[in-house]
Amino acid sequence: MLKREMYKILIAGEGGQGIQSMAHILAKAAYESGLNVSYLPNYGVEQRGGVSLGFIQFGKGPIGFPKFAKADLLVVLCDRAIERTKPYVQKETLYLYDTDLISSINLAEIRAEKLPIPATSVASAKLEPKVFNIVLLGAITAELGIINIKMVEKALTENFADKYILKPQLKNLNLKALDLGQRLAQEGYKNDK
Amino acid sequence: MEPRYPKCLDPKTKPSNFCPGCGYGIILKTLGQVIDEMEVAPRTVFAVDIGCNLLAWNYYKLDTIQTHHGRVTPLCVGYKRANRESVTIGIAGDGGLYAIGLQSFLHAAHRDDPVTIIGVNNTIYAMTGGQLAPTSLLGQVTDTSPQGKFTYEKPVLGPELAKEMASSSAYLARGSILNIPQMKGMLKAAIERQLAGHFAFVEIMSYCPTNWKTDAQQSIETLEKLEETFKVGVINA
Amino acid sequence: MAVKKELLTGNDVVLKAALLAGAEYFAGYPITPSTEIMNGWAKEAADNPKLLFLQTEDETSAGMAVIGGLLAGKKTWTVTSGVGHILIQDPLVLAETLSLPFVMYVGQRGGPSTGTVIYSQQELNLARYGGNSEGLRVVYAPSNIQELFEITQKAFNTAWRYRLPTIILGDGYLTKTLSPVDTSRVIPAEKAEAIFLNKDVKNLRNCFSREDELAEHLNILFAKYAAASRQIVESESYKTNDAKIVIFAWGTVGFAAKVAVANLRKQNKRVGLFRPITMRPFDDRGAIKAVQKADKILIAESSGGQFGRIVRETLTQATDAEYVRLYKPAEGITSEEIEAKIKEIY
Repeated sequence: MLKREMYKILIAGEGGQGIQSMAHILAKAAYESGLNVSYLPNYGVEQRGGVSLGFIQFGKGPIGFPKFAKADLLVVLCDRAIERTKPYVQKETLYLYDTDLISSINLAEIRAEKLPIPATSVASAKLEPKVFNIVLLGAITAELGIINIKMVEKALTENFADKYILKPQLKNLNLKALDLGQRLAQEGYKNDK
Repeated sequence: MEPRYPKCLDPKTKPSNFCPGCGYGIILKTLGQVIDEMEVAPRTVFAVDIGCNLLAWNYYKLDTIQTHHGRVTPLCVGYKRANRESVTIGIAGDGGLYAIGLQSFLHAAHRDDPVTIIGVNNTIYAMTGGQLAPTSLLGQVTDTSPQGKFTYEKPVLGPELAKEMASSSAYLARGSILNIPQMKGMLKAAIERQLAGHFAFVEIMSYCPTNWKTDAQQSIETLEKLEETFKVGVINA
Repeated sequence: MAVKKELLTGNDVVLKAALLAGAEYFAGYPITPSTEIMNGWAKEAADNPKLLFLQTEDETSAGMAVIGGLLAGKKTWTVTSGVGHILIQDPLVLAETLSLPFVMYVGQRGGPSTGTVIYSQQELNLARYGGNSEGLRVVYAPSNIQELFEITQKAFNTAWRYRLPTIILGDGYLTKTLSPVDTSRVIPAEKAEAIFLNKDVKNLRNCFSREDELAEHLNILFAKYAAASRQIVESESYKTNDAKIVIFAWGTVGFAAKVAVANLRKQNKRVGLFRPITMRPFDDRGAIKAVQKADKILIAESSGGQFGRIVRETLTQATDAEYVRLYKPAEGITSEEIEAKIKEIY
């Protein structure tokens, strides 16, 4: 589990993978947990198809620039994002990635503690493949002891309020995915030891 | 005996600074008569553009703004949207409207913004000393078309062009200072159309003796010849 | 009033502040990263018949429409960026010569030309002196989202009180960032008044026949600007009294620098920050005072030296300190980078 005064988190993936939704939910949950927060979405000129980045910072102290030089936690959801986020990696960075979306061979050069999460395959086996990003969100929350999981649940529900009206069963699915992600992260550590 | 000016003209600024024999005096005086007759002076806002018409910035006892570089149309559009009760009238030359201000002019027509725009066409850039205009004819000699070179196959026909983009409710017409009663009727119709909530545009064929280098008789003859290309009449009623 | 924190993006903040300041009319043209503010206004105006909205064919027309709205006495404004900012300087100089309260938010993006679409600090020269301008305008530079909320309100007041075109010079990072804002900090709004169809007849001219006529007009404007400047000019000097190194930075980089200074002070480094809040008028006196103890001046900006040139010109006679440049044209500058640079030169 990460322990910092200020947390710097970078989530990176393909446009359409839900990067900005994840980042937004996380930022909101951090704010609702009583922390100062800053979240900057960042992508190129393309409406679709570029690497999508979410810069999130939170903690008790002041936040300077909305971007940061090095990430405490880097969450990578596609191979292209590995290269794009290299400048943000340092040896203290916790490198969280979806083993089903990333070929570990591509991570050979990454010198950081890695936390592989099989989010897509577990989501597919136990729930539905599309909630892989919520599984990851659960794993992220587990790593960040500072964020109250109830607040993540609340932010998640607010974020998808419109969709829940049409498909009420989604709510339960998302909450299960979040819980699954938390447990995966905890198991990941157990396996390491 | 003093000449009879329309009431909305400012006598303090007369005689105006237009060249002797310039068509602008006739156009502005006629517009003044229309404003008087329609009794809209207390709610009329007037805007001028770049070119000779900028000399009319203090022509009337009406709130007037001098704009620049073909921007008179968006100024009028912007004002009118904020004051629907007003009568908003803009004037520009053929360069201001059909070259540097063309996209604003066409888009105001397209949005059907309720403003009255008057375009004065003398087929030349007059204030800058006689350069090629979008309305110049094939082979016309100007400072930038020496020996008639660099001219276009055909001139821009403003009201006809605007019709392609304008709402069917817009009023589009071409008058001439050679037929003042008709021109006056068109100006009146253009203000009425604005008050009915639609875009209105009158192009007025006018002469420029200074740059055409014509005397009074030659000016009239030249303008008559131009009207063979620029047909006077109502283009969209 | 009690603190009222809300989690908002900079886009939300600009919109909210403009409405609080009494904005009634928006004319604009879409360009990233400022479009979202325009979208927000259109959405508001669709539900509120008192709010006017016009999407024009380009930015010059947007600016001319703003001027039309101002003549009618509506608090009219616009937003733009980059190449749109270039075009809008054309109507802005008309507002300058006519002393009109033209309010504009500029979200800087990279340049020259289309450059990049989110962030930069390369529109400073343009904001201060764009067009054939004599700089008779106010340029505010908010450094974080809270300041953005207060300065956007203030910009409308400054514009209407002093009848000066007023620019809020931000960037896409500032407006895309989601952060908590205390929205209880509301400033009482100035009154607007119609210029046209109000009392006496006005003939407004921007073209003069003779050089001496224009000179006379300008001298009046210069005198008014000088008097207003004394009321308007703003800057922040943070821990500069004993500072050996003073950082000069503005906008979002200015706030990053402030956080860096706070951290460095904890490590007993005598570092300070001078941050202009109005980029025009510029607080020359404040800048000179800030460097009294300095033997090094670090200029940090996301441009190739647009700000640095202002700093060096201002301080020419005031200091023998050595200049160190942290110029990152088109790229952001984080607190960590500034901290590292200071440690390198300390």
